[in-house]
Amino acid sequence: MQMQREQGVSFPPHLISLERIQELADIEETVDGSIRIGALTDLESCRTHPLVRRKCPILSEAIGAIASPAVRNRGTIGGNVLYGVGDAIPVLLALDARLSWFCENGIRSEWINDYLSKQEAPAKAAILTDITVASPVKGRCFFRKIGRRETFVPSVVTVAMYREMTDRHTIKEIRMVAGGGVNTPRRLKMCERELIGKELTDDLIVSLSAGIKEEAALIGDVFASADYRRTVAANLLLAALQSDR
Amino acid sequence: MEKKIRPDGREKVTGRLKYLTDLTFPEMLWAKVLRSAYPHARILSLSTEKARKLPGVRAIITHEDVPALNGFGIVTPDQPVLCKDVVRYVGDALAAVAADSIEIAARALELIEVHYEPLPVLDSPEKALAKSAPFLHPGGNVLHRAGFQKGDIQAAFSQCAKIVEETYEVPRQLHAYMETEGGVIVPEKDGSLTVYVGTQHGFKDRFQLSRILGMPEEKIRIISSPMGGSFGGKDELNIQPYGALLALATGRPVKIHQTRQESMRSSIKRHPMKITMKTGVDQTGRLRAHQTTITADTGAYATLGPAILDFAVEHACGPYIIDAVDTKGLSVFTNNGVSGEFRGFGGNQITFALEGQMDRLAAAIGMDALELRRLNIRRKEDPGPLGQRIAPTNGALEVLESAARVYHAKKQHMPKRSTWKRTGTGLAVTMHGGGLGFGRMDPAGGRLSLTENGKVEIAFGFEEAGQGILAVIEAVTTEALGCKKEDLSIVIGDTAFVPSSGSTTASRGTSMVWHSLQRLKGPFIKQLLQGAAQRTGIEEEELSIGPGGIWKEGRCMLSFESLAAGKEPIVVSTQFDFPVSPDPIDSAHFLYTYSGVVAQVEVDLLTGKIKVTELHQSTAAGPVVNELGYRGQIEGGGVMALGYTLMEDVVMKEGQYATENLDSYLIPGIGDVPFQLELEAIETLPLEDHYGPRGVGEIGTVAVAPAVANAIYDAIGFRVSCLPVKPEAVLQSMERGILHENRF
Repeated sequence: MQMQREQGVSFPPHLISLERIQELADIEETVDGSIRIGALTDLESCRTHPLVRRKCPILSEAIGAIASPAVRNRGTIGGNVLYGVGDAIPVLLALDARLSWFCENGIRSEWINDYLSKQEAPAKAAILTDITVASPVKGRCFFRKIGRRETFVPSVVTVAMYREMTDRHTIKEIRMVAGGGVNTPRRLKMCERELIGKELTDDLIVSLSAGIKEEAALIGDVFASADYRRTVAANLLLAALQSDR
Repeated sequence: MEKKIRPDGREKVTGRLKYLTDLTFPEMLWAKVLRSAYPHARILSLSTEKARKLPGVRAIITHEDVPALNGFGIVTPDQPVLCKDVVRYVGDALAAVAADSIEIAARALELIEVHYEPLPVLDSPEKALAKSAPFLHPGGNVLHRAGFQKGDIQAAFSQCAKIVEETYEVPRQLHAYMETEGGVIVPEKDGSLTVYVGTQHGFKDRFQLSRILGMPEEKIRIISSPMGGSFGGKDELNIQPYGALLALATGRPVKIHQTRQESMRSSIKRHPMKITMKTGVDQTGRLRAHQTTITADTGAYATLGPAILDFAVEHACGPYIIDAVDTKGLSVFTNNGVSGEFRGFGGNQITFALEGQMDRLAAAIGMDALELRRLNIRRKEDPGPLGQRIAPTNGALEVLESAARVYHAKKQHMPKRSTWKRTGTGLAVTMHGGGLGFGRMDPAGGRLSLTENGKVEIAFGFEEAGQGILAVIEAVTTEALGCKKEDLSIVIGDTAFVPSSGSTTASRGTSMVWHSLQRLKGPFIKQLLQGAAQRTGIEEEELSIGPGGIWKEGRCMLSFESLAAGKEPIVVSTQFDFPVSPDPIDSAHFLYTYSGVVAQVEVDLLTGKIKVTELHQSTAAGPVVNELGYRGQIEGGGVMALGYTLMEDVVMKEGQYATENLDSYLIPGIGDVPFQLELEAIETLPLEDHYGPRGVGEIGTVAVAPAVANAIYDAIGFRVSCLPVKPEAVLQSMERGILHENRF
């Protein structure tokens, strides 16, 4: 909102602070071993939390790529998700995180992917309360953010991936995500389906390039064209697949 | 050499230092300036009626309220203070408001009604030069032409074994000083005006304001230091006229401090240039012919556009000796933001092109690029680039050899090849003129006094913009006199108390401080010792100046306080001109500094991103006055140049800024700065050289871009001709098949 204000969008006349609701700002392990993160947890606490570091280091890494230390001290994980283009989103999508909302008639929960595809809270006046991520113990994770400089920069391309293999070296489960700039990060589900059950060969990897570019459908701006963003998203995801074959 | 903490260091690091934009006064009002909504339009009507009715608004000024000259500009005052009929860029001012708060002033701007008739927008030099283009100024759209010819260029080309031709394009760079333009203007009881606004030249601001206000210069006092950065950007007037007019209109102190967006919109920028170079060599690698065409986008108004073009023309063949040279430059008015003075002053643009040519030529004839440079580089007694006699030094060859050693060392220790990264090393050299050049008034001066309270007061009209002039003054004065820094009182940045020293620009500060002290120290020491001899009865010849006072045989005989007590202050002044060539060639420089840069880059094959991993600068600028200040200038200049090379570009679309703030106009962060920033200062000067230390304010920015570009070629075989280097272009170059391995 602060950035939007700088760009000339005026602040809403009234703001209600939820900051004092302690329960919205804690991190805990749930009974099934997942990590539940309160939506008001500031990004830096989230990044450095021992539970996140130990059980979900890729999320810690992704949050480290958001803005600057000063912004991470104030910004929250919930805010980053609701922003719609936040840099924590790709990893949360790749890890198939769940969002919980406080609604008039109780708590409702949904996959982050479902929320992002409609970008609308599940009920009127719903408040995001927490984000739950399963610890990716069985598979491998990948995250990379590309901006026009090293840090404190809006993303040009952000990609993330989660991949689990079978004992026979075929892909058991895969979630690939691409976003960046004004592009809401999205799962590349068609590409994922192409890969499920298959062994990763050079040919398969090369054949995926066009599909990723098309499905990522990233749009461009005056600083980086659509074509560049799509190519980079494909390059990064394919290199990640190739490197940890 | 001892590493000294600069005099203003502690206050700056602890945040205690008050900048002029931090000042407040009782009864102070806040002002804002209404800038044009269009890059080019006729003003049909302008009404401030509604705005005046807003409670809290104390004054609104328009062109009708400018008492004398409605114009400013260091050389030609062609920029209206407040526009009357026409606006020529989106930074043009139409009105200014003083109110009880910033919010009221901002609201009042919204209430000012302006009706425009949009006119065709000339958003490129090509459009401005078209036959059908409307004239932006009475004399047409060409601000300035400059050129230099030597030898028979056509004949020389016909004898070349290889000719390389390329067009280089360089961007509009923002100074991005931390402190945006601003300050407070205070009307005094006696009818005079005190202007607390940062500038690089207090006396020039005083002159320009006097011309606008119709007020004698003596009634205007400019307090102008310290500044939170300038880099050339605050040499020209910015918000001073609006603050002054509003202070006079309201009789109250008026503060203006531009937001970053307001600054982006109205401030001057580095000239974007398109430079075509055609250069030929013979079979032995001798440069025979060099033809250059420069087109500079100077924006809506003149400011220092002509001088910057002259500088680029002068430096078109840099430190190389070439038989036939033909350089033509054109500076063109457009409806883009105003281009003006910026650290490097046209040298950065032309050096990027020239050093690009050198590497391309070397490749074309299969010669080592270093060898090609060595073969053609100027020697000590060679004339300067315009054929003028210059202060003879071996600087050019020395920086080349130093850079060559570094280059070879880095080539031998290249990091291991990784799957998705390629590393490359590149080199570039340059020479850079200091001072304003032949035929331009370039006076300097200083004053040294023993004050009544026993302080050795050293006064200059220079300004402290963060570059470290205070540290230079302290070091040079204590060394020249033999006293200690605690004995000194340094006075700068206030036209009421300082002598005229000329502008704090063109790498002239350090040099002129040193020259001043060489002139001042003799007579000053003599008067001090005479006085001390009278007081103590000791022979003058046995006395000398030391820490705290006058010494004899290792003992302090008389403190400065005692010497000064009850006596008229001792005052010694000097006035002289910056040294120029004995050859009367317009704009030609006499004192040059030299730089050799080696850069190492890492190219990401997946993203096309460039990371500069090492940057080494060899600088020849005479003796180092203050080691940390010198290093700060070269390293800081290097980082600024990395931004220019890799990311900085004030993008304009149809005369409007596409980059309105620092969220889209990016400057390097510490993560973009190579961990290995190295410097070799070459301090040697010929024995007969008596010009002392040269300034290094600009040289660290000049040859970085071509060194990085040459390193990129070394890494992936991509010839960069356009800055900033776009990852997109890098990636495309590889897709075109220059590099196939590991590609998808």
